Amino acid sequence: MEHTKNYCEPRVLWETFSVVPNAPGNQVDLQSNYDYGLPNGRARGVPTYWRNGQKNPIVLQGLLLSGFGYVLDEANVAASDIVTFDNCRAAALKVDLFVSAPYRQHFSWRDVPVRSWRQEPISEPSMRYASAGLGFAGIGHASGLLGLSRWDFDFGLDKSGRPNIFWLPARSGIQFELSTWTVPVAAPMNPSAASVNAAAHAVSFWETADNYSEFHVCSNRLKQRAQLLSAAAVGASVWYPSGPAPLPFDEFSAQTLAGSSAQVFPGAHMFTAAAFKAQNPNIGNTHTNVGGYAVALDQIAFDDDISADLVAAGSTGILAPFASRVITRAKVASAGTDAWWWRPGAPLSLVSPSVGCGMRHVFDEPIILAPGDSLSVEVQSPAATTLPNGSTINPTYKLGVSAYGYSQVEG
Amino acid sequence: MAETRDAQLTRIGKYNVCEGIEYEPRLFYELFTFPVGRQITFSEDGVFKNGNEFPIRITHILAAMRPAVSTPSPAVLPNQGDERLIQRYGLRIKGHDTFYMSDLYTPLPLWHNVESGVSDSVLRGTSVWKFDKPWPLASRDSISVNVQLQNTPTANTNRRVGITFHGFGDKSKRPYQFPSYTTLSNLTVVQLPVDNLRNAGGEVVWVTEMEVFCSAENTASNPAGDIAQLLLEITHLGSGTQRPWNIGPTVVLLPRAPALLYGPSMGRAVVHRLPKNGWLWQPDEGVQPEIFSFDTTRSVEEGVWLGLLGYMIIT
Repeated sequence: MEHTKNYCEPRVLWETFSVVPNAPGNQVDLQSNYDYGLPNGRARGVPTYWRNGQKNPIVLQGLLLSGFGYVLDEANVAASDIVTFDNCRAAALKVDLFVSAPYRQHFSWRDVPVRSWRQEPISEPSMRYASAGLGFAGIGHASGLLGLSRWDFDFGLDKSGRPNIFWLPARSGIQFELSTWTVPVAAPMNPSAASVNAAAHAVSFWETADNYSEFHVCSNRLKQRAQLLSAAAVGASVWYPSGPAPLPFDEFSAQTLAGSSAQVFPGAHMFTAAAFKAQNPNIGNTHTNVGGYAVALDQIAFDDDISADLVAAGSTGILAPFASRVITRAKVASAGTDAWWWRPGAPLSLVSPSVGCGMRHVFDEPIILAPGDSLSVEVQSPAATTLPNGSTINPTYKLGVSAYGYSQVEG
Repeated sequence: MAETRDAQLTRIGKYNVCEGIEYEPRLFYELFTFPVGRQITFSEDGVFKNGNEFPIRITHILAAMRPAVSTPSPAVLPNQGDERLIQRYGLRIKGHDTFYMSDLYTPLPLWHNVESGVSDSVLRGTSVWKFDKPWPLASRDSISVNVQLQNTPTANTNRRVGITFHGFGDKSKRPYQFPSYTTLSNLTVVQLPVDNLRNAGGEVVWVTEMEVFCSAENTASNPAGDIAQLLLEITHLGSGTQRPWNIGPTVVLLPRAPALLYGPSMGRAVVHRLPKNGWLWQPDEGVQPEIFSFDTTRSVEEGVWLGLLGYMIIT
């Protein structure tokens, strides 16, 4: 039987880099220590993270770049040097990035500064210029207006003009999970339990408009709004059983990482496949054309709490969105490939190319990774900086890199 | 013989096609208030309904918080009217005994599917609507725009507010701009100078876009502005239906719509672009929106503006 459309599933290849300045004796990649004896200040991505290990081709449509694990988006905090110097998401802009498909395509023979990757506008409105009019001088420190991360699945057409669609068979579901988040406790930040507990999340999947009704009956499935638990709320030291945490934190997050619990994805944060199926908006159809997902993270109370601390400390810092501090995993259940859409643990900002806090670079032509094929990704850290007082600063630069697209499963 | 899927889609698709000889923008809007303790507010019956003799196409849904109506207390955060509080409200829309998008209340940020932000300092005080269908401003036609502030400015200050319509000449294809502005120092309703909003030339102008702004108070150190403070009433005079574009509630009369809701192309509201052609409302057809508050800590009354934008199809 000839297919009129192709079955595709979303895919993201990703890695987070934690690098220290290019200086003699510095271990470059703190996370994987995978530097292959490269020149000083250079780290190479783990090859298996960038390889298509599945039996179907993966079509990569673009890159997402985002600093991760930082409490602040832009820093200016009156405290010790180690805290003030480059300890914010904007510091990731100082890193250079090199991406190539070995033996086939190089974007450039030189490293490209992160801020120089041509970017698409995907950010939500900021709160930067909202200030005294609302009676609270700290409101301009807030992370953003909506707390939204979104991916509209737009996989285009194949060479025969057939649409590439994520069409989910009836009686199958999607499982989508969010992690906890870490609470900063280093000065000057002193959040209250009430503001930490007020954080919330909601998740939505929706159908594309390829349906019958003008009114588009009941066309989304929703994980209803619920609390976004902090790491402390589900037990101390919950990030990882041993070894390095999946998402290293900045110097403001002093929570210990050496624990025995592995509850990275608490059950309360899971949009279960069963709940997805139960909402079943198109009960009369054989398939659902899944159009994408959106995640809303409410960090208003936390932002206001920390903003008050920043104002008291004389800082002009801006809070980072939770999307750069919360990790995710997702897959289809009871259908499709049953494989994770991305290696579990990607920061939400690296899997949200339509609206989000990452920097989106769209490839002019997609890169197709055949089974076993891989990308090569390298980062170059900036040089160490000597401050006017003569001390040398060694901050950790944390840059997340992802390549997003889809797996061509059938067609 | 059974109908093929293609034939079925074509037949059904024709229900959602309607062409006219002329189009006029329309905004259906209402303020959903949430006194302390209230969880659900329904729209007034008949607000989101086509009461005209021509069909109406709805293309966008917009939502935003009403700015504070009383002096905020820094002791209670977030303050009343904080625009981020839109994250704590959910929407569902009922029509023809079915729901869009879900029978569950979907938090409003999850509706946002349009990239409508620009530079921070501009976005704070500006809304832009690029019309899906350009509309004709005939020779000697003019546009009446009444403006009003939401809150009284600080004593001895004022805000500069204005609107500009952009378009092109039917024959000459040259660009046209119709800007009009004034300063407001109290809550009086003011009509913007109409002579600046008149097509005094000899050709029809096709209007493609409107931009509205509300500056900061003239003594403020930060001039970024606040578009949430402006209310608008727009009417096309001369040809067309000569009816106000904005259609609001009648029980609690709100004759002017918030400028926030005139920003589907650029602005600070949540913007939901309806799939494909949107909804086609024949006369007497419409929907009933309901808004749900997830906020259990609210200690003051809040208000949520909701708007459905589109255009009337004059057949």
